[in-house]
Amino acid sequence: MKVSKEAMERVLNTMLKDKFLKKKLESTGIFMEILEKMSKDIEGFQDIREDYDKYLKDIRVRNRTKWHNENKKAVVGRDDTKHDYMLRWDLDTCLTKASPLNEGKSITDSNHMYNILNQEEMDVSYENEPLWGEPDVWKDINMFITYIMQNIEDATGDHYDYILRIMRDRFKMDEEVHMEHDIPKADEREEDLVKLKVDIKTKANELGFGVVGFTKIDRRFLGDGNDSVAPYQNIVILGMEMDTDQIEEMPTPGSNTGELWVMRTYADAGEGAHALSDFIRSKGWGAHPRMSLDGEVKFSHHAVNAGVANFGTSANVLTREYGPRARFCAVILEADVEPDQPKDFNIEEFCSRCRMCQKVCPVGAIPKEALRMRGAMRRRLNDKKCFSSMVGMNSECGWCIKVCPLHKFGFDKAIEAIPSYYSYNLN
Amino acid sequence: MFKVMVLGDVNCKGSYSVDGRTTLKKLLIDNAGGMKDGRKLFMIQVGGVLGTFYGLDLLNTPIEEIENEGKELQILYFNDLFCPVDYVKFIMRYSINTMKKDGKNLLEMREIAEELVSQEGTEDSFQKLRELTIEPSEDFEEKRIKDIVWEMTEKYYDVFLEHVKEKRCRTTICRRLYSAQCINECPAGVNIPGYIELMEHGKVEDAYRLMKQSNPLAFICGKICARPCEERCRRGELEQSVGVRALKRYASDMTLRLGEFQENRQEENGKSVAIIGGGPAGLTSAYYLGKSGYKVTVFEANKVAGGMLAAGIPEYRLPQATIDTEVKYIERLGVEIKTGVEVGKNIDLAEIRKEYDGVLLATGCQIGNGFAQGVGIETAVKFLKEVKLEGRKDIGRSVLVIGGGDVAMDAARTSLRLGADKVFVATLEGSIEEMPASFEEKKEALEEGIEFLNGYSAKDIYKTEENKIKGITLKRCLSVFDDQYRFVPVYDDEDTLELELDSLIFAIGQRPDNGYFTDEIDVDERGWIKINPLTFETSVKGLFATGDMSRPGTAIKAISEGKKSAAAIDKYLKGNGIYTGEEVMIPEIPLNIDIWNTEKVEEGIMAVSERINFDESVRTFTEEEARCEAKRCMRCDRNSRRRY
Repeated sequence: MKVSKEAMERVLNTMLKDKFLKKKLESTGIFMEILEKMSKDIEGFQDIREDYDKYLKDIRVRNRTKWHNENKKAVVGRDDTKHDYMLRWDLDTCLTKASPLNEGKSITDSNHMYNILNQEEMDVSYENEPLWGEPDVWKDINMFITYIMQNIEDATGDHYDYILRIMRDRFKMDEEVHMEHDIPKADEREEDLVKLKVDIKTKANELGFGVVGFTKIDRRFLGDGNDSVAPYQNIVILGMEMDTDQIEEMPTPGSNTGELWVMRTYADAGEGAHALSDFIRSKGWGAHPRMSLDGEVKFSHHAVNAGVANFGTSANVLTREYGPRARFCAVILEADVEPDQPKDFNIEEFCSRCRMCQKVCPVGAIPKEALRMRGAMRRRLNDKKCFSSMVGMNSECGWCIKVCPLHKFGFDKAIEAIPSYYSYNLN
Repeated sequence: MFKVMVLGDVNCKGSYSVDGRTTLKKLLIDNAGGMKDGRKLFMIQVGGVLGTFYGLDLLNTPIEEIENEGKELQILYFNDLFCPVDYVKFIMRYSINTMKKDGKNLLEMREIAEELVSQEGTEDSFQKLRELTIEPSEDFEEKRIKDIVWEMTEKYYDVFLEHVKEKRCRTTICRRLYSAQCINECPAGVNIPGYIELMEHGKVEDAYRLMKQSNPLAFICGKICARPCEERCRRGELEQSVGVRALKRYASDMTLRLGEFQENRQEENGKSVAIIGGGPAGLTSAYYLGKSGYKVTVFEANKVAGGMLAAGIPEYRLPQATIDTEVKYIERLGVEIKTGVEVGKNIDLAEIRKEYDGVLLATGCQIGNGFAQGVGIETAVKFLKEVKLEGRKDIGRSVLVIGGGDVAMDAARTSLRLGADKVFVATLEGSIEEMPASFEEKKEALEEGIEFLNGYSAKDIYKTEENKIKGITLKRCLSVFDDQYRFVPVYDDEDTLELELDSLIFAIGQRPDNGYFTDEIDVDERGWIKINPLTFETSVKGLFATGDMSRPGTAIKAISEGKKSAAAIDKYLKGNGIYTGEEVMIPEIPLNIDIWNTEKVEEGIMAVSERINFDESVRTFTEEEARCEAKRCMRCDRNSRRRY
């Protein structure tokens, strides 16, 4: 890995100022090497590292025991025939345990945009084989940091700030998941749920999110069947706009502006999610943020259920305000606010006559037709081909977003290109 | 005040607050800015998705007479690009997905509607749909849905049958029944995205070969086609259309310049076909029949082949050399073109019918209409023919052309080039935009200094004692069409304009010359020959007719009919189908990422000061320009795996 000395010094200086971040980074292997080489002034370095490793192990054991004790009774053989919960493997006991109630299932099943052909096939498939959270290569934090550091050298400007902000928010999020219900929140609860919903929406708009939707979590769309990331039942989907200039610079990102592609949006969105969950906790309700660089909660499906987006051709969901440029993040919410209804913008009528993304993809990862998968007609991207372009050959790819007419001309112009009675759905 | 929300194909959609006496027509023109792109209004729906339909005869209904419960009234104006089959599919989807209706009949109707817009529709399922709309309903909304579906299938019964039997959507909206919008709009069905892709790779000869499989006069059409394809280009709906005709001209020019283009034909099958008339329809038939092994003879009255292309289109738009180049390739397929032979004068139709196995009439519409005679008064078709084929050079000093189409523009610009001092064009239409001539013809005519007198009709024509034209009085024409787009001109006899003239040219339509017909051929009351639209056969067995003489239209329409009548004659003579050439392979690679950042390139045109003679005024693309323009195509034929 080639990193210039100046870049490393910049990183170090920022890192040393933020104590929380410093503590977390010290647990990763690469920084150990570099720190040993470049900075001999950090006192007590080895002790901090051992303490932190022990602390992490304790948390994991404590949480595992707690789950087991609570759910020991919920084993296979429950009499309910409705089955609104999902069964997960319990790796400690070799039995199965029940997830919390899956309240979002009824919203998904009645939403025609999923085009479900066989309900039983869909349910059995999601219970047997949950969706993966992240590709295995991302799960290793060392690999992740290596990939990010490789890009720092080419970019100029304040980009390293984004990377560190993203990493800090991500570590904070992971830690909060382990803490579950022990995060401090205000004593007085806002009981008027209608007012709470309006307040959350206003605050989210102030933080820069133009797309806000409320819905229930569908536990089939959690990565690896990991219920611990969603201890509550409601979710607020937030969407922020990615920079148009950055996308126009494809296929050579950052050549004119010197930015690290759209990493700034990732950082801003992550901070916004944390800020919003702090705001909700100040109203007395529990809240967990989920950042944009996340695989544990699938944002696309929840965005469709919340009525803010529709499925498009290239496995991106398309929103009305930003087209394919929306970068999603979310906040898991304890309060049972009224969920928004799913809405059909008739984007599929336009998409089916355009298909520019499918014709431009340099590796051919986008399928021409919808195929039958998991009981529904779906357009499932070939993820290995897509990653080979995004991470491998073409830096950051993003060609499918650049040629989308909804990005170039906007939703209103595109809807005028199909027969006019399709706009009845929008009113 | 009433609150209305205006939707549809209008210029300014949105919510408006209007007085109750505003009529639907006034709301459209004053508040909503009229229909978009100058399209015609077709019908209006008032009251949302389940509202009532208003035809064009109810345009003067005031808003306050329309029933609604005091809420905002939704009014949708449809334009004439309306497919009732797609609308039925939309209604069924909307009612079940958005309104959450779940009657059993409705679910079955939706399934049938989805089949009708795709390749799986059958006549039986269409009849089942109609039967289901009569079934009893549970509530008011369900009854209204069934009534709307019944109304649509009843009023547009033949459109539904066309979708189901011929698998064709004539307004190019049901996307599963065509490959790309441009291919569906072209009467000849040329594979437009295919040849653009070949040109992008530099394979101009393959592109020309692909074009000739549907249109053998590709170079000619590259210069003069009316291009219905570009009207519905997918890119044109978002930004600006692809220059299809200009690319066609470039590919043909490059290929034919080298002179090495080769074509093959099937072996001779011993049968012979005679074609009367060497215009686009006749030449196209000759090309395909000759390629399939027939012995073809074309009888052409003029001394050069080409028909209206040779006699009606001036030299600066379509040089005769271009026509001769492509006709040469037709002659290489064993076709004999006898020029200077007029059927009815030099030879009889009965003799030809005895000698040949099949006979095709394609004599077109060559006699111009006019309502006055005299010295210096003539029809445009005669004037243009004399200039182009007989070398006429004289014209008056002050010229008036009556008419608003492409022929009028040709006549006016030719008069200028022959040396007239002042040329006027008088049209019934009240503005330049409403004239039916093509946009570029009008623009170039304006640049050259021709003066348009829009909204005038002829009142009195004055001649000298020697019967020579002297002057004309024009009267004002206030409107040409009524609300329902019927031809009902309204004149004002008191508002007049006087002109002194040397020359008066009529360009108000043409009629066919049936002088050589024998008695047993049927014509209708206006003189157009009667043919079976599928087999192109006249009332006489073994005698076929095609092109302008049965129904006038553009050149590309005549070419497409020429190909279909060749297939019909081949079927009548028990052949195996016409041969269009070997298949051309089209490469399929990922498209260019900068596709939206390329601006449209127009063909270069001579400066106005140089347009004084009959040299070709428009210049072909350079190679660089052609590559840039070809990259702009969205390749809509690659949207689906299904092949058509």
